[in-house]
Amino acid sequence: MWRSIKVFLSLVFLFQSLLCFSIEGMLVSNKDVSATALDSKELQSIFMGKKTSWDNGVSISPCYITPTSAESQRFFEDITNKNYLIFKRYWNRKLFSGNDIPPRNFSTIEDLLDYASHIKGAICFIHTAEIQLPANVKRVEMN
Amino acid sequence: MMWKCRVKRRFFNNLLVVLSLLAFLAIPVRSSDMDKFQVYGFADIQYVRSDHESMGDTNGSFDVSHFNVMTNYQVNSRVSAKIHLEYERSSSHVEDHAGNEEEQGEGEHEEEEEISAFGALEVVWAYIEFDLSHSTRIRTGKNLTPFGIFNEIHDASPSYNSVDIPSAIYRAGRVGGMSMFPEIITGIFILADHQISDNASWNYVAYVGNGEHAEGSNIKDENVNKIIGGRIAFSPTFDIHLSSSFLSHKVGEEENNHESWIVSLEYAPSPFEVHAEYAISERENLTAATVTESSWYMEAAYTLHLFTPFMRYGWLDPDDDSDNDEWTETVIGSSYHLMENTVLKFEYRIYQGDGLEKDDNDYNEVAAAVTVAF
Repeated sequence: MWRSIKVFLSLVFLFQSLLCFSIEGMLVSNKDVSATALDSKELQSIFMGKKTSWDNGVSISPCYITPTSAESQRFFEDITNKNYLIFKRYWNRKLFSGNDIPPRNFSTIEDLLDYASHIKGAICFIHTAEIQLPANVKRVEMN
Repeated sequence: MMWKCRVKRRFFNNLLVVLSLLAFLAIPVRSSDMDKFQVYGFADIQYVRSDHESMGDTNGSFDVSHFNVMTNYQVNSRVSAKIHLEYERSSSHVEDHAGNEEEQGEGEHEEEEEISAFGALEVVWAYIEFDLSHSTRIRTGKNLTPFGIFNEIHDASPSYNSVDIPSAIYRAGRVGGMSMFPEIITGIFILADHQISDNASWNYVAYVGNGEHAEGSNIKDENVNKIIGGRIAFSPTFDIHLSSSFLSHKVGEEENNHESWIVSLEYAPSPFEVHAEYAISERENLTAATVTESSWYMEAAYTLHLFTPFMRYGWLDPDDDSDNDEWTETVIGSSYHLMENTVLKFEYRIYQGDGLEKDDNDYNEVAAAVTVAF
C-alpha cells in the first residue's frame, strides 16, 4: 500500500515537472527600450505598477496576452507571481480609483506586437517561444 | 405638484448629461486624439433578500446597483482630465452615500421615490491632474476621500471579492453608527509614489478641501474651516501593504470637531489574501459632547481555480461610553470568475447586535451580484 502511494506521488511530481518544462514564453519590448535583460523582481515590479519608468526617463508601458489556458495562466503567474484573478482585482482597484492605468492586454499576438512596435517604453510577455518579431520589436532576456 | 416639476427637471437634466456624453463619444476624432482618450468602467446587478422587515427587503429585489463610466483625457504629457459618472439605483431605494436612511417629509419621499424609479446620475469624481514628476502629482477637483482601503473603490465591485464592502467601517451609518468620514472631498490633493527597491515602495496622499455639511458629504460645506487629511502607505514586499489614514475637520454651522483615523493591513501571498482594518472616529454632537466610535473587520480569501471563497467578520461600537450598543457583521461567500472581466458573486450575511435600535436586532441577508468591468 505504502509503495503504491509513493509510486503515485512520484508520478504526480513527474507529471507536474513535465508541465513546468512545457511552459514557454518570451519577453519583448520596443527597440528603444535600453534594457536587454530583466530579472523576476524587476518584471514583477513593472507588472504590478511599482516601477513606472526606464532609466532614461521613458514611461514603461507593460502589456500581455490575456491568459486563456491553464498553461498560459501558469506562465502569467511565473512572471507576475500573482494568480490572474488576484492580479485583475489588484489592477481594477487602481484603475477605478483613478490612480493608475493597468497593463494593456490583448487577445492576439499580432495586436500585442503592433502595440509594442508603436509604443516607446513597451514591454510585453507572450507565452510563445518562437515568433517572427517586427523591426521595431526586440527580444528581452528573462534572468 | 412642485415635486413633479422637480422630478421632471432632474430626469431631463440626467437625460441631457447622458446624451451629451454619448454625443461626445460619437464625435469622430483623429486617431492621435483617440490615443489620448480612454473610457472604462464597471456595472453590476445585485439581488438582496433580508429576513427582517424593517432592515431590508423581505421580498428580495434586483437592483442595477451601479453603472459607472470613467474617462481619462491626456491633455499633454503632464496634464490629464478625468471624470467618473455614475448611474445608480434603478429600484426604489432611498439612502445617502454613507448608507444612512434619509428622514423625509411625505412630499419629499414621494419625490425621491419618483427619482429613484429613473435612477440617479451623478459625478463621482472630476478633477485635473498635473504630473510634477514621475513619482509626484497634484490633483485638483472633486474626489473620493482617500481613507482606508475601500472608500475610493466603494462602488467598484470588480475590485473586491464580496458583493458589498465592509459595513463595520464604511457603512456605519446603516447600523446606528455615524459616518466616520466624508465620502467625497472637493479640494487639492498631492499624491506621491516612491520605489525604495525592486520589492519595497511607499506612497502618500495629502489633501486640503471643503469640509462636510452636517447632512452629508455631497452638499456644500457651511463653515470656513477646511478639512485636512492624508494617508501614508508602505509595502516592504509585493505581498504586504500597510497604511494609515487620518482626517480632521469641523462639521456644520456649529463647527463640531470631527477627527478619524484608520490603520489598514493587506497581506496577499497569492492565492491567499487577508485584509484587516481598525478605525476610530471622534465627533462632537450638538451638545458639544464628544462621541467616540470604533470599528474593525478582518477578511480572508483564497482563490482556487475560478472560485474565490471568502469570510469576513466585522465589529462596530457606535459610542464607547454606551454599553450594549455593539454590532457585528459576519459574511460568508464566494466569487466565481464566469469569463474575462465578468464575475458572479454570492454571499450570506449575518448581522447581530444592539446597535440597530430595533426590538429584534439580529437579521440575515442573502445577496448575489453579477459584475462586469470594461
